[in-house]
Amino acid sequence: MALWDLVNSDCVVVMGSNMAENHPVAFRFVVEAARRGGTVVHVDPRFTRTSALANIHAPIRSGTDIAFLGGVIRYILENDLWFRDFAMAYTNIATIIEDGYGDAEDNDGIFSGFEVKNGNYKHDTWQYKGEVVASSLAEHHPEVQGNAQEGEKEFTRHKPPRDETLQHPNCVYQIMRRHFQRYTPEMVERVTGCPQSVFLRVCEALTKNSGRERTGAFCYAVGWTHHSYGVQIIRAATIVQGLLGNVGRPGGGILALRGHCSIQGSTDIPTLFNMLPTYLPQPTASESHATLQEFLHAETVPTGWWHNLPKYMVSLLKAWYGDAATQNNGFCYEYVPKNTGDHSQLPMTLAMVDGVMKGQFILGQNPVVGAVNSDLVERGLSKLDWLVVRDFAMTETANFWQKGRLVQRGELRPEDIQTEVFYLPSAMAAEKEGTMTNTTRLVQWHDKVCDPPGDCRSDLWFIYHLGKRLKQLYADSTLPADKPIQTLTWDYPTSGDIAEPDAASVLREVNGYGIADGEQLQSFQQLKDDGSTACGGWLYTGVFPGRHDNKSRSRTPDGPGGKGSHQGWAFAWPDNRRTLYNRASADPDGKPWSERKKLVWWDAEQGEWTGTDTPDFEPGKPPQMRPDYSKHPTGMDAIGGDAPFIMEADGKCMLFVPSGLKDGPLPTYYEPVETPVRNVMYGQQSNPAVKLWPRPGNEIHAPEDPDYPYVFTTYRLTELHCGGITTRVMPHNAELQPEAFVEISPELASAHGIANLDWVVLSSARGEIEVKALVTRRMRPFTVNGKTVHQVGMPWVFGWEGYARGDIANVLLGIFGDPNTSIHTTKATTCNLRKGRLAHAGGIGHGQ
Amino acid sequence: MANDHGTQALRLVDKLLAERPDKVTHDFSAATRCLTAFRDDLVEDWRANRSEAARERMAKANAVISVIVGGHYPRGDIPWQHILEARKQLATLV
Repeated sequence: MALWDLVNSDCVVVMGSNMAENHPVAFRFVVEAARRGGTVVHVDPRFTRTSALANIHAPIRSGTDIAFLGGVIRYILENDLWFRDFAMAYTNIATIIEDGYGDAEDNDGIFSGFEVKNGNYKHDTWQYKGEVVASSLAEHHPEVQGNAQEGEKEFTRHKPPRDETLQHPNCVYQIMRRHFQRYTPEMVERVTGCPQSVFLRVCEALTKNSGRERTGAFCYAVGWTHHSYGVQIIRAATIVQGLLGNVGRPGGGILALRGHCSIQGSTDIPTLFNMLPTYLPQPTASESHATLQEFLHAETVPTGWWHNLPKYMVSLLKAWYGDAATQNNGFCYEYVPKNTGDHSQLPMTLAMVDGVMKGQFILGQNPVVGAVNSDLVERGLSKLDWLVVRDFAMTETANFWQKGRLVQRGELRPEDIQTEVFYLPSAMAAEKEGTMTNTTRLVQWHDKVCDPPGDCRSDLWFIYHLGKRLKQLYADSTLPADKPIQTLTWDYPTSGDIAEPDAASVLREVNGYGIADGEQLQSFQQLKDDGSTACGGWLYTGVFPGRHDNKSRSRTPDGPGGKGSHQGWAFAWPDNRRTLYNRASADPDGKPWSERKKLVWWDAEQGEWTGTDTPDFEPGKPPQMRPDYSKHPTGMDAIGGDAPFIMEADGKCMLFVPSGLKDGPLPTYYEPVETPVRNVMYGQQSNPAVKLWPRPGNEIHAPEDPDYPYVFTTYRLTELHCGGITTRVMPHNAELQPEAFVEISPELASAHGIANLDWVVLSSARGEIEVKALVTRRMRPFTVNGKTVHQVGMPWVFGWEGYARGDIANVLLGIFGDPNTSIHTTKATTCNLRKGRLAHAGGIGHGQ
Repeated sequence: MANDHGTQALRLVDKLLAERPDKVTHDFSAATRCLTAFRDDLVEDWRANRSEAARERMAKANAVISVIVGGHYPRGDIPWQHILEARKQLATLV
């Protein structure tokens, strides 16, 4: 949903985010929603400024979000408060699942298909009965026995099996009712520590503000994602919104708040190891990806929008390899690197410790502060031959060899560290031009205000000229391995004394163009798989539709009385659509669900979809269109005019996910990997599919370890941003937040004899740090299953550089990952604390 | 020295292949460390000689490491068949 669409919400639930303090610009729209009469809810362990501006603050123990949201789902189902017309038409609630499906309810927290020996799930029993469902994720194909693709073709032969009466024991509705049966208000309180009365007020607020006339939204940030089950927390919210009809409609949706500069953009044109630009799958070293033909055969799904994959893949290869990419050589597909495993940040940090990498580039990141298990990160960096760090101020990552924790403790000596560090000064945002893509998938251009000083250069300058030098270095090589670098098109125009590359030219290439005429493309629907078009990222097509027409530069808001979608303000992918799946804002016949909540509807006279947003649907497909299965339809021909969720194989919102998730088709409550309590819901303690990498230096303790009795969470501050260095070097910011602190409840402080501003030592299975105590009622103890559980919280933004210093919170955190994303856990782990200082003198963080 | 590390790496990869642990264990780290030490030796050799043969050995060792690291940090099941192929490659280098 669009950020500004929050003003149309009748209920906004902020969960997994301290939105007022960390997304203050975005929070204005929540404040406006409240001014218009909407209810604002904040579900969070701490009482923050977001809570202060909310109508309801629901305190929960960190990491118990699925128990809370599962309780909301149960409340909706058992009280029959779901938006029946919406969910029956647009979700898979009536779809029948395979007979062999076994729910977590039947096996104490584990679904059918689990392989105890290796912690992986096979997905056969999660499928629609008699079919195999292709995933809409980049990894399209499920882990099933036999020929998955043959099963996927069933979608071209008939509708998925449904029971419109919802009586079939294996229809999704009945499965969900059984699955969430134990998530009672009493259980929610036992697990989360949130009083039942408060929990029920949240349920009432959500359900009263949903339906034809009203909508509600969720806003989340990394408070949801940074868990060993983060993906399933978001899944739980999608079930709530699918049941309540809060998808694709004004004021409805799940808003991912982006907290880093262009973090959405770095997912789109990705820094992720397993995706090519705009969510195409990265080829792997498996046999089925050996050639382009095999890759496309394996990855192209029979039905839904992703059937267009070959057009996007071939156009990408044409953008990268230009004239050298031809039909005869598979468009140079062989030059694309192939994955051999999980090459995401966490395992690669561990591999760095084992000496696998010889060098590393660090741009826009400060992993000694921002990555988990900071000491192990330092150990890895010390094993490199070379390290390039680009930033505009000295970072802890760049000088770990001199001031790092391991050096301070005497475990490493600078003279023994062989890593050659190149610290290169970079330009700040206002000293370079380019785009940022953030919340709402909004691509916004920014101009350069002034030249960077001295030798500071933009990241674009660095990457471009590095590429030029590499090409020069390999120019005369005759080795096949050097062909990819030789062949890569790398010809962006430059200007000025320092030969600054033209950022607009890069964006033009990302947008795409015709090979024959060089004309910019207007829409991704023009892309072809025959080599006649080039495109760096299909979802961005339309951002630069003419040589001098850069839509991301546009800054024309709607005036009062305007449409309200502000389509003249920058560009939102795809195709400048502000609300995804907005076909769902109309009923199956194409009429708005209500006048108050209309957005996109079918204009029968004109024979097209119209409205106040660009329809996220085929423009001329009538609501009454149904697939003609006698013709075995593929692609969008297999998606009816009443099926808004076009990226899915059947066009339906997936309340139950048969494919694409590695840890279950429905969200299930597990305790965090490290926790002071047992899971009271199931015998299964933690996510059975979690990625664990135990090794010396990355120890993980068992549940209820008396050495680590407190829940520990981390967060950032309004004044100090993320890895911190960009703001810690600013005197005015540093003055507002001068040093590190840990927030402790008065009850816990009293138990340890700690007063405000006392020194405190925090410890985990990985390390110890010392910080000042901030004793505050913002933190509170929770009663969990009859036992008092204390929680402490600490900003993770401090380090030893800049004016505002302090020990690094992430020293305490372990390296283990969500099975779907390999993302780390920063929001719910454990620690111990004691009054006092570290035993070794001169704790590094406090400026002594 | 190169063959010491290489032989030790081969022994550890053989141990992995013989035991085929279902879950990733620290044994993978031990094998990886030996392999990277072996590669370091080959890099030294290449820097000293700049011969085509030394370069090829270095490139092959790098490919073996890619597969073993992929087994240590798999995206699904551990790719034992790939590891077996990598082992054969490694044997030609030692």
